[in-house]
Amino acid sequence: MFRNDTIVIREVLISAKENGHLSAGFRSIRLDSAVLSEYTHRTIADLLSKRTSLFVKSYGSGGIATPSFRGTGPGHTRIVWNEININNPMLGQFDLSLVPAGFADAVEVSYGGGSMDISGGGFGGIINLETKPDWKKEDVLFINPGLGSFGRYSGLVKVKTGNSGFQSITRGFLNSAENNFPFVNNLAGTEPVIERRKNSQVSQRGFIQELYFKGSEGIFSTRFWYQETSRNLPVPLSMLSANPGEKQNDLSVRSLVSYESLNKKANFNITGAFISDKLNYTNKLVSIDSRNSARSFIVKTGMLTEIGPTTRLKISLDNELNFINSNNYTGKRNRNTASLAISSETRLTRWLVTRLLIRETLHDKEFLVPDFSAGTEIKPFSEKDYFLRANFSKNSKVPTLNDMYWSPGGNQELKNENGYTAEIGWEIAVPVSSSVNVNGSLTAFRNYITDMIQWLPGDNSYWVADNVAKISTAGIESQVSLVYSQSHFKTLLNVLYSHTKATPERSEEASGYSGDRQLIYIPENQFSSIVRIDWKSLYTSFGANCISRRYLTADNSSYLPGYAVSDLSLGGRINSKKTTYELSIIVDNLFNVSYQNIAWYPMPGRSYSLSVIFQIKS
Amino acid sequence: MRKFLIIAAVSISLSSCLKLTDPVISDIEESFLSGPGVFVVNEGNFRSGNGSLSFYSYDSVKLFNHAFLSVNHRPLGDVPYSAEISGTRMYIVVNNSGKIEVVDRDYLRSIATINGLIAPRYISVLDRDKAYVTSLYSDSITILDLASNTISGYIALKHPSEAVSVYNSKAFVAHWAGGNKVFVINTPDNTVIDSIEVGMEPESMVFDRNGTLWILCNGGWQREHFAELIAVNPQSLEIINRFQFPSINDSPTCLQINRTGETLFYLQNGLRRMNINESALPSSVFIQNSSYNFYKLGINPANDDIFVTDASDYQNKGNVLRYNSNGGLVSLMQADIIPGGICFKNNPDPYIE
Repeated sequence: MFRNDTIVIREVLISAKENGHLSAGFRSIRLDSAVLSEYTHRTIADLLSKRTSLFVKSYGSGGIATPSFRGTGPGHTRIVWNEININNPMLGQFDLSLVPAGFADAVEVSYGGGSMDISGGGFGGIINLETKPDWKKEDVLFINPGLGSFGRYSGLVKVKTGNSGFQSITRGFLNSAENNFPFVNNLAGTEPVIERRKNSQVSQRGFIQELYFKGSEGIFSTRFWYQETSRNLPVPLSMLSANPGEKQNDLSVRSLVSYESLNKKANFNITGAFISDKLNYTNKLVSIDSRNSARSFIVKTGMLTEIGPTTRLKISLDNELNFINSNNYTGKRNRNTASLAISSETRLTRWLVTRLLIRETLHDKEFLVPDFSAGTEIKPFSEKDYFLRANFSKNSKVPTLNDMYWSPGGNQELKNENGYTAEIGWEIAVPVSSSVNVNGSLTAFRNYITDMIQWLPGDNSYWVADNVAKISTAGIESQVSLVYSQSHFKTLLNVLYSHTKATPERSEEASGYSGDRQLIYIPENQFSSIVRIDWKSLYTSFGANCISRRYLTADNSSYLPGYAVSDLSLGGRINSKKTTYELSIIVDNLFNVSYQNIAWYPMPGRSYSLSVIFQIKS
Repeated sequence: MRKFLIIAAVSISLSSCLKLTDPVISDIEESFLSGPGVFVVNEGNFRSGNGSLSFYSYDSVKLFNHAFLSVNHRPLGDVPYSAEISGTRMYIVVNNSGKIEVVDRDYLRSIATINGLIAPRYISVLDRDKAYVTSLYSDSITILDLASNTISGYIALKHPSEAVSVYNSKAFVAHWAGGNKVFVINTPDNTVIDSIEVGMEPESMVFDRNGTLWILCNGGWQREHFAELIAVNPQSLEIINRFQFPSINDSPTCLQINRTGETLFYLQNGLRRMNINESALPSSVFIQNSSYNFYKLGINPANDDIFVTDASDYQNKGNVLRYNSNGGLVSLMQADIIPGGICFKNNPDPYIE
């Protein structure tokens, strides 16, 4: 289960999948265990930035990394673990640099309204980190130590045992890095100088324990995830001489208890979750000691049933209760959000499937305007895998707890943000010959967000949260994969391109945006490609990731130039009946490009890492 | 297979066709620095490193943006906050970069960068060799050796500091953030010799023609105290006069004085002025802020021209407004993001108008 020969990243059409989602007509990408196995000692942020069209805004190696879909913000992306929301309720977002890719068995990325079937979704979309059992009767030990440039050491261990009725999976990881890479400092004086990054150390550790029990009626499971990260936060180059000595410590405990019935006619599931996130930030220079604790109790239950031969009906009831204890709030705060969603998927004809979803949310004691989504999917030729899809949805987002209660500046009068999304797409999967397969997709989208919350300077020298902006994002996403396979030789080419125009809907003086200008930190163009060649047990892959200019100011008067970075990996494995040994060498930023993802935060130049995998099955 | 290889080759070549280095400022202009004028430090956005320096030239009647960048080919830093000219040099205090840029006042060429300062706010040059630097977060005043452009010592104030004004051998230092005192430092031996309890958060200070120290206390951001304008005798340190602003929400800033030292100016819902002999605060506005977001103020000591910065929405470029001494708008010029501190560059000889 940890590795197989398939590495195709294929956009899948999910219309009646085993995961219980009703997503006909909506875009979704699934990165399976084969893809994840190439990134076991890297983070989910690395995985998504190289393998999807998401833009990951990163403060550098080990630094905070947040994703954004289709020109929306990180707060418009929901991260879930086995469909349970793990976004920090204070911030409303999730730091993807905290999670090693080896901690997930699959990652499902659902775009726009397609995300609404999963834990409420997000305007941009949802990223579902899946951990799941493999009901084989076998024991597996997987060990993956690694080391790399700039003082990086990592280790991932996975132990699986069980049979067709019981499975235990234990994962653990350690990661530490000095991140003292050299960079060119143009601000040090009249001449650029090469310096080394300071105060950028990161240390992480965590483990996940999963237990699954399978009976004739259903599956009972428990999952527990502990994770701790300690890191120094480097300052932007413009603040190097200030050196405030910032530190951030994150500690998360996540536990799920689930039951899922195996009744084919009516599948019932219920999950209870407890999530605890602690985020402490210190800044010696300005004597800040920010301590923030968020605890969430979540109950999620649903039923999926068939109504006749052509319709499936899904009913979901979610409740999330948040308790916040922060020295940045005036007193303890809590809130409760409950939602009821009903969705149906109907195959109207052989070639036409539709999906409808409506959701009502009770936010504390207030009923919100219902959200909805509608999608349709057409397969015009029964013998060919050509698909057309179109959808429209309306979703809403309650303000984060920081937006409401942070002192000073939190605003308890904030309204919800509303997002409207339309999408149309085309997808093909074509076997060109016995040795060549092609699949591709082209999607056009448009988002419109009203009452977007921004923090702006107020009347009394501090910033205040307010509903001020209306933004519009529109663009296209395309993807092509070619696989050539013959005898011991296999080659993959995967190319992704996206174009996003994200602008204020109209001139909003208070919002800071005016005119037809691109929103800050949203690249208009993104391109990435991967070429991988396997010959017998040897392989090599080359990846390129190009990001266009990102504006730094609302009037677009300054910007970060575009960049293109590449990586190269070489590896080989030795397989026997029970054991697998694998060695891989990765060169990141192959051409030693000097670039910044966020202004004045230099990214590492060329770096090397070595990964060893030892796996034994019995 | 052939097509496959072509696409692969294209994707590979695309990966190496782009280059970049650092953030690019797209509207760099040639600077025009000779002659009298006004420097405006544009704070830029916090932690964005996009602070800049603008120069208004009386000769060309134009505002030149990105003057420091144009000359020195590097950005000024993160949140430049204030500047002071002394002799042939100008000292630009860059708050969030923790440094002071020392430049030639006529050509803006970098002479030195003084690093290692904690959140500096204002500099006061005492003589050719010594200056004091206040700090938003440090509990000390930093002493600079201007001959070597290095830090030569500290004065333990035990509080953060903001505005600083010097009178004979005394330096008056305001404890602004959360404070209500003005500390008195004996400049020859750099010792704190006394303090004056004033209103909440003393923010700016000026001396009038009689040598009276005027202190504007803005009442604090939590609006729990009334703002006050207080007159102090710098010799006896006694409070001579005290004016309380009428509303708890009044938050005046940027106290300035005209060339003759007779008329005070400050910002409060527009620009207000007050003769030093008045018995009450002005009830009316001298210059309406109209649609502008008045942020900082300066009165040219050479000709009483009034310069006000408009911070706009703090995200887009702001403006610099020049008024004559009667309050008539002379010119409106677009500066950079959050134009703030104003520093007048006047030639040794009067050049009025």
